[in-house]
Amino acid sequence: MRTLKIFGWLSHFLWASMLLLTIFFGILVYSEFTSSYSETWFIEFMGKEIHKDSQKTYLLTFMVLCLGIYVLYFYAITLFNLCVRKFEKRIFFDLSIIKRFKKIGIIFITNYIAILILGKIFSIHSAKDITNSTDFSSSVLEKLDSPLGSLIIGFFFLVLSQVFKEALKQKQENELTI
Amino acid sequence: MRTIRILDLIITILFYSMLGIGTIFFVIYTFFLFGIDLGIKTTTTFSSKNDDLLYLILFFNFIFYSTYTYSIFLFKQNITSFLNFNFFTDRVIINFKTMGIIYILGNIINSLIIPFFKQHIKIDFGFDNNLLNFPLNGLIIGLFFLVMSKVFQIAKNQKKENIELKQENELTI
Repeated sequence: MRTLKIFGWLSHFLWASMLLLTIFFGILVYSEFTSSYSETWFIEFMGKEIHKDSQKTYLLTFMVLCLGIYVLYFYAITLFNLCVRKFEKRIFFDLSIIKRFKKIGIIFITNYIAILILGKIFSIHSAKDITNSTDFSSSVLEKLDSPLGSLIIGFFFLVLSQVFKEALKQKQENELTI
Repeated sequence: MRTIRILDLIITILFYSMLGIGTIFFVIYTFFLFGIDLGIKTTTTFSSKNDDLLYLILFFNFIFYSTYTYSIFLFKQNITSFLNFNFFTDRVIINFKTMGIIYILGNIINSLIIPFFKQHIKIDFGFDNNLLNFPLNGLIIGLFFLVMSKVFQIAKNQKKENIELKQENELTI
């Protein structure tokens, strides 16, 4: 079970680093609420250019939604970490693991859809002269998205939840037969 | 069952598109290596002194892409197996193990070896041609599949025990 140990360490490390990054992003978004707004931004919402007066609201909404997606990822990794802890205790087919896998699957699929929609409706540039380097919204969403990966991983976790349910049923049958 | 069907559909689309893209790239690279002009705008920064290195890198790229496509094929096989209610079979366990090994090796090659060579070679076809950037590529995913292989092995043993116990029970009755 050496693989499980290495996997456990990596999973704990991922959780800890994500916790630090979540705090860091939280502070960053909070500072945007308190700081004065720079008027150099170019913001489009559903293809329409946003007027200067309401630009800050749109920018903050976008940032809060992105933070929400990241927090959801963090929650999914927390659930996954709890499953890994159970695995380390040699508990594989447990009702809590089945429920957690289902939740992780739903989170990954939801985030995939959310990122897809955010990318379509928001276009935020840090400067009026639009270039690739000023594309703030795409670069943020790119960091949150793993191309197709999150959708596949999401469905895979949902499938795993069903498979583990089947295994638990078999285990219970086994115990009843004894 | 609907979830498995959706996953099966996604994996099938991914597998066939990877196969198609891989074949197109293989043909383009082959023509490129033999110096046949296909009319595609390319910019190559590579010294002619290191021709062997260029062939080696392209060969590794091709091998890596092929193994990755193969891993998606194995994943597709497992999902088909799940669709037929065959969850804990030897085939599923071996497939998960092979996939795990492929992703771990892929991650090591991608993060350690490729960046070293990237300074020496750049072939640009005018669009994003990073063939090594795959959706499921990652150390954690690789190890996760290896763990899954172990978990499925345990479940398979339990199932076997279950059948044996049932047979014993029936014989006793």
